[in-house]
Amino acid sequence: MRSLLLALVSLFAFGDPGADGRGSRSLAASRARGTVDTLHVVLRYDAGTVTVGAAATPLLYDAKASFDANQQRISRSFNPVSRTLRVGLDSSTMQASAKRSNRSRSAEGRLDLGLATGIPLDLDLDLGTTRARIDLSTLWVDAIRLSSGATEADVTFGSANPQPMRDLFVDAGVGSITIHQLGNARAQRATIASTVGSVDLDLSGNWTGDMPITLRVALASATLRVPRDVGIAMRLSHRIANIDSDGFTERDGVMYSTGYEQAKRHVLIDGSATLASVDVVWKD
Amino acid sequence: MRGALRLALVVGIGTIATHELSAQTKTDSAATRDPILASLDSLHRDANGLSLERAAIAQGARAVGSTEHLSGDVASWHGPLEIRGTVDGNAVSIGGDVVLFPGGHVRGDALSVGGQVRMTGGTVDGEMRSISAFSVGPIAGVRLTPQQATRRSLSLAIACYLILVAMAVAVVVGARTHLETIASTIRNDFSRSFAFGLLGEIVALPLFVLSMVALAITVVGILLIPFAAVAYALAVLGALDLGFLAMSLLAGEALLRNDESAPASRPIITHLITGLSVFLVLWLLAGGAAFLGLAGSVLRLLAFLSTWIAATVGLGATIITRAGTRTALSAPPVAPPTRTEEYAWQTPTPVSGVAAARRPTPAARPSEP
Repeated sequence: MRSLLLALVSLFAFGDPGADGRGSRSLAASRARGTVDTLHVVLRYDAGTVTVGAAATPLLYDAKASFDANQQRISRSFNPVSRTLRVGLDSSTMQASAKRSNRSRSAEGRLDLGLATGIPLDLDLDLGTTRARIDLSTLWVDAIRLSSGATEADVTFGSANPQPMRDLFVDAGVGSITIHQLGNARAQRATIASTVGSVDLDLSGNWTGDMPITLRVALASATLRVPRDVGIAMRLSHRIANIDSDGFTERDGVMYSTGYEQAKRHVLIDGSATLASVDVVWKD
Repeated sequence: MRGALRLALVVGIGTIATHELSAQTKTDSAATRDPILASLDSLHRDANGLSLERAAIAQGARAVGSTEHLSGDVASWHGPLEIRGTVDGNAVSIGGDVVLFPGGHVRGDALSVGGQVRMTGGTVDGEMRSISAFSVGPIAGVRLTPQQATRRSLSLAIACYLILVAMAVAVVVGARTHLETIASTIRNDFSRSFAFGLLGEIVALPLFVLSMVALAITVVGILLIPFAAVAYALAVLGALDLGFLAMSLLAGEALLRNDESAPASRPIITHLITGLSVFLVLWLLAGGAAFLGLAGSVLRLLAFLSTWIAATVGLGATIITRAGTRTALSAPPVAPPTRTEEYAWQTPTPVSGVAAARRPTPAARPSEP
């Protein structure tokens, strides 16, 4: 038995070369805006912390990242012809085992991405298991597609979009996504989906007219925080779902909030809820 | 047997140490290459680097004057690169800063490795980029070197061993009779245990899927699916673990039975740990021989097969005995006839006389004539 213990101690004494911290890397990349008038951003990031916000004025983008080179590669590329910035994990050098390893060490990497103000942005954000803080205040977002696996995301539209957003698509996956002042997005079409996770939508902001929202939740919870002056029309196909309908009246399969006809702004919600709960919280 | 175990461990550790030494020697020889060429190679292979000609790089600090106009790339190695003029290509500093002064203009990218790109009035048409160091080595989990693979295998084997030892202690404290029942079943009915274990492994997944589908059909049962899935996985893992520990117990008993220097009665935990150590030695040898090519593969196959057979037989016995709560049905325990019953017919007849008795004879089996 003593021999066995000695052998175990000897084997552990060899150590792990990957555990010495030599893999720590940082990357800072930025580009002057020049004559670029639109920007398509493809962000793929599935481990660590991500922030997205506004870059300093003369810059088209400003990315700062820290990562463990023993576990992942972060790279960026910009195509001046298609005006596309790709940033995030370099999947071409990674195989499935490394990606799994990344997901299990989600706290290691960090990416801070700043984007140009004053030009329309088309954002394609694919986040895996991350903590994301996306502050789109002062940015002109023409379209955003945000997909996450088990991300804890916080999205803020701090000021009104200069032009209405063509498309807003958010898939919370099994994570949780909170969207602040969604009304400022002025989205012509918004789709919010969640499976097992949770979404918290704050519909306040500077917007007028109708805001159509497609809501698809399954085994999940959705909370809608709606200003008092907004009328809600809700048509959700639901199965074993708990929909907070206090103060709503149903006509032709559509539930209308009290004073819907008198309201100057309307939220039109359709979609489905399966084994889910949908709560409406009125805010002053 | 203990001597053999000790010898195997010493050989394994010695082989690994030799391999570590040879790997270190290879690394030292690689460092004797031209360091600038090595840096350019890394710069080319780095996802955030770029390609640069050897002729563009100068050792130490370098400056581009305000009246200069370079048509290609410019680079410095272990020194700052200061630009006051125009560079049509890329400006790179490896181990230093790239500094753009007023009037400086880079039409390509400005890149610093181990330093920073500092703008004090110049312009860069391309990207300004700073990386702290090259990222060109293999990513863990993608392509492991033999010594990394060896370390990983050995660490895994030792970790599994320690976990199993902890479980063994828990089982001995809390479910000793169950463990002994399973071990007894394996001892008495090895082939049947193996058959049941194999069957259990085959039907485990379909049974799981069927259970989940059945729950989903009931709609209300959907809510139970996550709990049922976890419970099922725990049950299967528990059965496998209990069975494997029972097999380890038997292996330990078999080993220690031949050890004449040992005391006659040992605690059951000693048998268990000895049995588990047998499997550990197998996996240590298999892991330590990762760089032996075919021989290493054969050792790994042997380790896998022996472990799989042990786990399968143990699982089968666990199923047969319902986790050690019942004895095996095929071999019901028969109480051995007591000495009194066996020789009762020989008792001398008292003077007062007794009813005649017959010597008990075993009942004839139906297959016998």
